[in-house]
Amino acid sequence: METEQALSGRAADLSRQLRLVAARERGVAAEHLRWIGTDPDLFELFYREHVEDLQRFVARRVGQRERAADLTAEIFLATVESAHRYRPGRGTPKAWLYGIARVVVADDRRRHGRDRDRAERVRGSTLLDAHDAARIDARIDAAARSRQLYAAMEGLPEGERAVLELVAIDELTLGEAAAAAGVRPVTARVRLHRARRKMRAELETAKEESASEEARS
Amino acid sequence: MTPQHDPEARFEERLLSRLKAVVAERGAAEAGSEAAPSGSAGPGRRRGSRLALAAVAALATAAAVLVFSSGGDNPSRAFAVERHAGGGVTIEVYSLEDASGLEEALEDAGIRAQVNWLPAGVTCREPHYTPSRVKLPGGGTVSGLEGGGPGALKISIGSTRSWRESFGKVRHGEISDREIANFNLDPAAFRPDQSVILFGSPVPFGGDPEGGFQARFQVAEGPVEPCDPLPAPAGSIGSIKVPEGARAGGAPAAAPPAPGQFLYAKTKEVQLQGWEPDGRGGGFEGRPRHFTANLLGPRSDARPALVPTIKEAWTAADGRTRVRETLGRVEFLSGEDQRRWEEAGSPPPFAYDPGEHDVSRDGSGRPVKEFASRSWRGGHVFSNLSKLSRLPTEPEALRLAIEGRGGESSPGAPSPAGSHVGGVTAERLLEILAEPITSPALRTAAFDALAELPGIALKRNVADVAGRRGEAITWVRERGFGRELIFDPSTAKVLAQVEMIFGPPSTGEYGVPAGTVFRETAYLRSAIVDSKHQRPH
Repeated sequence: METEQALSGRAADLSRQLRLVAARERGVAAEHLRWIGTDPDLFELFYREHVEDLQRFVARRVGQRERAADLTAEIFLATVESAHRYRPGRGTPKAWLYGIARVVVADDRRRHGRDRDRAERVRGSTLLDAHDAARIDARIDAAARSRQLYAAMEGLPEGERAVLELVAIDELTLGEAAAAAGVRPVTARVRLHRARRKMRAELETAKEESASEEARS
Repeated sequence: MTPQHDPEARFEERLLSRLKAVVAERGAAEAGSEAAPSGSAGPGRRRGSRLALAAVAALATAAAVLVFSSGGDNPSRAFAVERHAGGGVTIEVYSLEDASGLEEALEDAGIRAQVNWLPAGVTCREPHYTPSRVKLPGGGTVSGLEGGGPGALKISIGSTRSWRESFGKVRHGEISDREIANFNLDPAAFRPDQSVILFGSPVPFGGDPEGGFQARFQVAEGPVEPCDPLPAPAGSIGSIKVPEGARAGGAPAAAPPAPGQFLYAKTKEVQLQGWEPDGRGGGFEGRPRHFTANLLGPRSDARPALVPTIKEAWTAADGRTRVRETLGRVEFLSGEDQRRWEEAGSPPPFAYDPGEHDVSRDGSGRPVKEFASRSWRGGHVFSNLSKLSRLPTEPEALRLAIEGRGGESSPGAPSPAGSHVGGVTAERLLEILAEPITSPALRTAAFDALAELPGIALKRNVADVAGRRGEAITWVRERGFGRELIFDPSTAKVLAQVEMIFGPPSTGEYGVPAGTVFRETAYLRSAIVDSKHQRPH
C-alpha cells in the first residue's frame, strides 16, 4: 500500500517536472496555473514572470510606498488561494491575475481611510528596506499621470470603470480586459465606449476649470 | 570579496520567499488530506488483493528456480543469470570478477558488451569508444547511467514493454520494488553497430573501504578498443576541473549586445511527448488535444514521440526577445505508432496546433511560430543580460550572490545539490553556464562553485543530441530527476543541457528505464547581430 502510494506520487512528480520544464521556458501555461497554489517552484516561476508588471499595475493606482508593497503581497496571496478555481477557457493567466489585482486594489480603495488592521500572513511593507523605498518611489513617481487618470474615473459606474481602467491605464487589449473584468468582449466594448464618452466630457471640464483658474491667478 | 547582492531584487526576493513558504505549507496540507482518505478506505480491500497476488508472486519465484547461473556449483560465483518464462533475462552481479564471463552472458541475451571491472582509483584511457545513445521503444533515449551501493547489481535484458509491466506489478503489490533490476537493456533499441560499455569499481560502504561498488553503463557506437587502465587523475572523481585553456580566456569572450544590437542564439530542442490517439479534450474550451506531457502517468495510453524544434532567439540588452520556433519531424519510437499517427492526419503537437496558437509555415512547409517575449528564458533570474555582467567572478562570492546572502557575515558552507537550497543554487549556476555570452571569468567561477556543491559529479566521454562529444556535469535532484550539462572539455563551452530520469537505486520507478532523457537542448550557435531579423553569416 505504501508502495502504491509512493509510486503514484512519483508519477505525479514526473508531471510536475514536465510542468516546471515548460514553465521555465515559456512562463506558466494556462493549463498548469491551478498548481501554483500548491507547488512552490511553479509559483516562483509565475511570480517572477509577473512581479514587475504587477508592481507597475499597483503603482498606477496607489501613490504610497507601503500600501503598494502591501497590495502586491496581498494580490499574490490571493492568486495562491484561488488558483484552484482558475479555468483556462475564461482568459489568460495574465488576465486572471489582473482581474484579481483589480478586485484587491478596489477593495482596498473602498476601505481606504478606515482602520485596516487585518491579520495578514504576509505583510509586504514589513519587507521593505531603505534601498527598496527609493526604487519603489521611482516607480510610483513614474506612474503619477496614470494615477490622476485613475482618480478621474472615480465617478464612473463600476462595470465601465473596470474596462476603461484595464484598457487605458494597463494597456490590455479589449479581449484581455473583458476576461480580467469577467464580462463578454461585446459587453466590454459597449462599456468602454460609454466610459470613454463620459471621461472625455469630464476631462474637458477639468481642463477648462484649471485653465480659468490659471487665468485668474 | 565584495558583497554583491542584486539590489534590484531585494523586496521582491523577500516577498517571494514568504509567499513560497505559504505555498509549500498549502501543498503539504493538500498532500496530507489526499493521502488520508485513500489510506483509511483501502486496507481491507487491499489486503485481499495482496493475498491473491502473493500466490502469483510465488509462482514467479518457482519459475526463477529453474534458472541456471554461470557460477554453476560454485557458491562464490560472481554473477547469476535468471531466465524469464516470457523471454528476457535478469543478471545479478555479486562481485566485480569474471568480466569476460559476464560479457558472454550479456551477448547470449542479445546485448554486445564490454565489461570493465576496475580497481578503485583506476580508469580507462579515454576515448576508447565513441559514445552514442539508443532510442527506447518505451520513450526517450538512453546514453548511459550510473548506480551504486552495496549488494547485487541487477541488469535485466528484455523489452521495454515487459519492463513497464513489471512496474505495474510493483504498483499492485505483486512484487516488491527490490525485485526490479537496476538497469534494463532492451535489445530492440540497439542498432547492430551499437554496444554497451559497463564500468564498475569498488566504493566505500558500511565502514569497509570497498564494501560496495559503483556501476555505470554507456552506449557505444562502432568499434570499441580494449580498456587501457591508468591511474585516475587525483581529485577527478566527483570533482570538476576547468580546463586551463578556458581559464586563460580560451572560451569565447563575450559582452552583452550594445544598444541596437541583438544576441542571436540558435538551439535544437528535443522533447519527449505523448500522442493520444483518441485526442480527448484538454485543449481550451474542451477542444481535442492530441499531445500531452503526461506521458508516464499510471493511466496514460499516450504513444511516446520525440518532438524536435529549432529555436532561434534575438535578445536585446534589456532582455526583450523575438523568438522563432520551427517544428522538425515528429518521430515516434515505434513504426506502428508512426503509421497510426500519419493515418490520423498527423495531428500537430499542442504547441503547434493552429486551433490553439498562431502558427504559420516556412518556405519548406514546416510549421513556424513567431512571438515576442519579455524575455527568452521566461522565469530565468539572469534573463536580463546586463545582470550577468554584474555577477562576481570569485566562486564563493558568486554562490553567495545567487543565494542572495552576499551581505551576511557568516555565510556558511554550500548545501548539497540534492537539498532545496543547494538545488536552487545548482540550477542558477547551470543557467549561468548555459548562457551564450558569459565571460570566461564568470564561466570559470560557475564551474568552480558547482564543483564545491556536494552531489555534483562529472561524467566523461558523452555525446549530445547533435552528435558532439564532451564531458558532462551531472546533478541528480529530488527523487532521481536531474540534469546533465555537456561541455567541450577543451574550451569549457556548453554544448547541451539534458533533463533526464536518473532513477533512485531501484530504477525505473516511472515505468521507464533510468537514464531516460525527457528533454534535451543543444546550443548550436550564438552571435551578436545588428537587427532582430538578421542571422549570423
